[in-house]
Amino acid sequence: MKKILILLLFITFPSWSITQLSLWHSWKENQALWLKIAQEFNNSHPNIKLKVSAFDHEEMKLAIIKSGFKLKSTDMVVMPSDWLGYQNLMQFSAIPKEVINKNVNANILKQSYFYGKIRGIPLFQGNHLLFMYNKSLVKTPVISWQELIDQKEFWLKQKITPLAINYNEMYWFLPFISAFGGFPVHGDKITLNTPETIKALQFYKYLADISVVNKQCNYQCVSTDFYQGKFAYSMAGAWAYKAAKNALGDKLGIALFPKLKQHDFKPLRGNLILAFPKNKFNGLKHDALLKFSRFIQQQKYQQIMFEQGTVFPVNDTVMNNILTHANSDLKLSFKQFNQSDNMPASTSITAIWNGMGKGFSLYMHDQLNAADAVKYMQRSVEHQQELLDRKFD
Amino acid sequence: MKGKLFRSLRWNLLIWTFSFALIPTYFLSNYLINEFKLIQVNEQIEKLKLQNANISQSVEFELKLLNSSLQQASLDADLVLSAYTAAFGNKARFKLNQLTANHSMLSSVILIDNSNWIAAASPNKAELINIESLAKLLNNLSKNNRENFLITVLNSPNLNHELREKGMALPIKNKSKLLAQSDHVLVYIYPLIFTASRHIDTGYLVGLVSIERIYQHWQHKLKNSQLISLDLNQSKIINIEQKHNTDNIQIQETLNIFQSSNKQKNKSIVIQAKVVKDKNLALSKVNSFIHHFQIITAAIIIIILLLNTFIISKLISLFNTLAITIEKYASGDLTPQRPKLFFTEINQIITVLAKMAERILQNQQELENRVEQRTNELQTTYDDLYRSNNQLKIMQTQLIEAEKMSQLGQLVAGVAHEINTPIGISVTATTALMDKVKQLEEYIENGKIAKSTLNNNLNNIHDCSHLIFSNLKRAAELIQNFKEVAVDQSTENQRKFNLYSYIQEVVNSLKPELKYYCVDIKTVGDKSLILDSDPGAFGQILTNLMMNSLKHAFTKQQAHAILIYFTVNDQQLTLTYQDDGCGIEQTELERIFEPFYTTKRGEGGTGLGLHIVYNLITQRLKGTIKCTSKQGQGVLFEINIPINDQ
Repeated sequence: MKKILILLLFITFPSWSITQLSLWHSWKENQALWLKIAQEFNNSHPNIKLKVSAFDHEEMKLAIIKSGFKLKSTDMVVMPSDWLGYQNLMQFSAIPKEVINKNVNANILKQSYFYGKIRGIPLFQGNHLLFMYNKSLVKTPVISWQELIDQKEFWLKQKITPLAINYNEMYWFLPFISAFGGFPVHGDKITLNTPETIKALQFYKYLADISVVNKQCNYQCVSTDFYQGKFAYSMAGAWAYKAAKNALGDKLGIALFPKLKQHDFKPLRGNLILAFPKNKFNGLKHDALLKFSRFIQQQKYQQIMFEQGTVFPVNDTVMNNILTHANSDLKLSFKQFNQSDNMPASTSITAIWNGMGKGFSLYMHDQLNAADAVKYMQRSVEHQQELLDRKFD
Repeated sequence: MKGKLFRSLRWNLLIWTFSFALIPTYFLSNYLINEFKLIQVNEQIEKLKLQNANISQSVEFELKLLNSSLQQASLDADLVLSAYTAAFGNKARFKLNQLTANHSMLSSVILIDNSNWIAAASPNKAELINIESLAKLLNNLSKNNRENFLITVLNSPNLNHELREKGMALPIKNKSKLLAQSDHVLVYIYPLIFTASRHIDTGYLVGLVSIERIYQHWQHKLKNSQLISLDLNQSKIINIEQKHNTDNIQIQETLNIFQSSNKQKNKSIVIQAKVVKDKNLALSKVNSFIHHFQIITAAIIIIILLLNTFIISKLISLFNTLAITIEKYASGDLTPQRPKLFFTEINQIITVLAKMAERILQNQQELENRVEQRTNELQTTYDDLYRSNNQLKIMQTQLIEAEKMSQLGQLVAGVAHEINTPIGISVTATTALMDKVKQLEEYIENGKIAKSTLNNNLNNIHDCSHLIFSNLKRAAELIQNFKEVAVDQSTENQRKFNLYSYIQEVVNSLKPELKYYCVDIKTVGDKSLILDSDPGAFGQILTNLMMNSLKHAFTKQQAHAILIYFTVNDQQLTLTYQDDGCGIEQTELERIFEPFYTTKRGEGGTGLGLHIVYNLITQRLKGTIKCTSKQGQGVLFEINIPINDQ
């Protein structure tokens, strides 16, 4: 019997000696880069085996939550910092400050705090929307929404829709609230039931009604359809800049978002952080996770991520270096980034998406008027926030 | 008129066709149609039952399927966590939308968290539904075992109203079909169960099925029939105001909605469905078919009638043609008629008649030829006969002439013979006389005559002269007789006379001859009878008869008797002459009236007596004479003479 146990121990020894790490991310277009990072990490850490999995953005969120109810969960996730609002569900580990690279921008790091503790290691920043245009169609980009509205006949005659927009996604709608001077949250308070939200809804619908935008538009519109010249302008994510550049080349133009009645049009921005759900950082794999945390924060990978993923590094040294050598597109992108509204890490911002979406849908389908719709949004989001604020067993 | 109608082949055929074919067909078809209709009504009832049983099963099946889907969904982590967290909204909505898309009867499906907040719903607008009416049910369920699900029919006008406004759009676009509204909702409530952590109480998945929707679903599958009510526990949960129509087909079907929980195991919600179908509508196809059938039947009847009329007309026309043909034949026009007629049989008759006509024509021709031939033959025969007749006539004439000549010859011969002798003797005597005279003259001239010679000569001359005289006298008498034989045909001797007296005169005139015989002559008859006739003829007749009796029948040595008897009957004089002489032999009897036939030739008989009698009676008096006699028994002459009125 003793001999058999020794034999089993011998057979399973290799797997015992190697720490298996899993990393989920929703940056599918950069999976190759992540695999390369994993390979380099694995090569430099023979006793650690990192496995990288790419998910759809929303699927990954749900998978993290679901896994929170199971014993088995991923060790690490690369996610937007606003997901920290799911803290009660995802149970991210508190990360000691010393783990954070010293060159990480302090303001950025602030956004990784939840319940007073660092819950994620900032990796990159950006995630903002860009106002792209097709230079073969547009000589001079518009500087106001009214100008865009005025041009619509010109474009429609050519069977070109003026603006590509992922119409039903709240990430695209929310900047319109800010353009009217509002914002869905103030701290932990939901501030959707406001005249600004109503105006935003009405304007947003108006754009569709006059065919400046198409209600049916989704990700395809802002990407491939825009690249094919079906749209003159596109509100696309900064993360899609590289794909747009590859498709349009020099025809791709980037401009600041047009102003709405003298108000700046501010898209949202966010940080990508490395977090450890279900408190994995403090678990059995702590050492391996710590090693990877330090590994990934290296300036090398900050630079690589910027080059291949079109995100801004959180490392000030690297960022400053990049800005020194930035081209016009990058400068404009960064300028737009700076003119963006930051998404705080709070249950309020986490809660808004679902409730806003429902109210938005009811309004767009004429089930509710704008005023009732924002009331519904407010109620719904508040309820959602309550859920997120609830402490789970 | 009626008689004419019934005697008309045309009308007979038409009436027969109509009465015995079309009318019975029409009534039979109507009877069959009614039977067919009855069968169809029963069939429609059965069909309606079957259809509704199928629909009921289909509804049951769909509701079971819905039950199963909802039950399955209640275990879906995305839904469970959506009610528990604020993260699964989109995913949950997507899955709820799938449920409403897959279950047409589902008015709405709602995800309710444990604070009775609608976390998600399909359709989206259902999130606005006021679920107060469900709260009691949810609370009850919450207090009891949460493992159970609940299916019940909830009477909630508000909820139903909410569902109409915020539930799934009606599957039937034509909302006018929804004539009834219900206050009831079939509610499915399933506790959300997170299989990874069963102790988590997240909320409920609630499926809402408006009874109106079941009604619609049911009604939608009905064709030409109406679901008029759905009853639950004998109270109506939906009802359509139906106009009272007794001409409806009504059936009832049961809908069992499976209801399972620990407490209510094997229990079902039983809903009674009443369906009516307008009989006319149910039988619309049948009626349409019957209508078409009737039209077709009528059309067929009309067509048959027209066709019959046409055929009968054709037939009658054929018969007419046939009749005309026959009439032509009958009228003698035997030219073969071969009109091309439609019917083979009639054509055959026509052909047969034509053949008959041909045959008759041929026969007639043959007959005519034969008649002509016969006529020719007869003509020839006639001509031959005519010629023969002429020849015969000629021959007859010739014969008569010959006979006449023969008779004349005989007569002449007789006359010659009679006269020849005395004349011959006279010639001879004359020759002798002349010889003697010549001799005497020679003697005288020569002067050598002796007295004796003279005397001898004179005696001879005397004798010769005497002989010549007597013979010439004889000849003269003969010629007189001949003259008498030639009867005078003139009527110069015609006069009225008393026959009896005349007979007596004749008898008396013969007395010189009678004196040599012993004869008793008796005359019997009407002594006053006056005849307007030729008495001379009577006289010659009686004279010749009496002279014949004397010369040929009587002997002078015997006494004889003659009876002359006459009577008049019917303008006819019958005169009988009878003697008791020797009679006449039969062979002679036939010739007694022939001229110059005599048994006493050379004895003074000339054979003309009875011939003269015969001629007198037949030619002068236009009468007849018949002679009967037997040898030795006398002779009887019966003479019949027509007489004029006195």
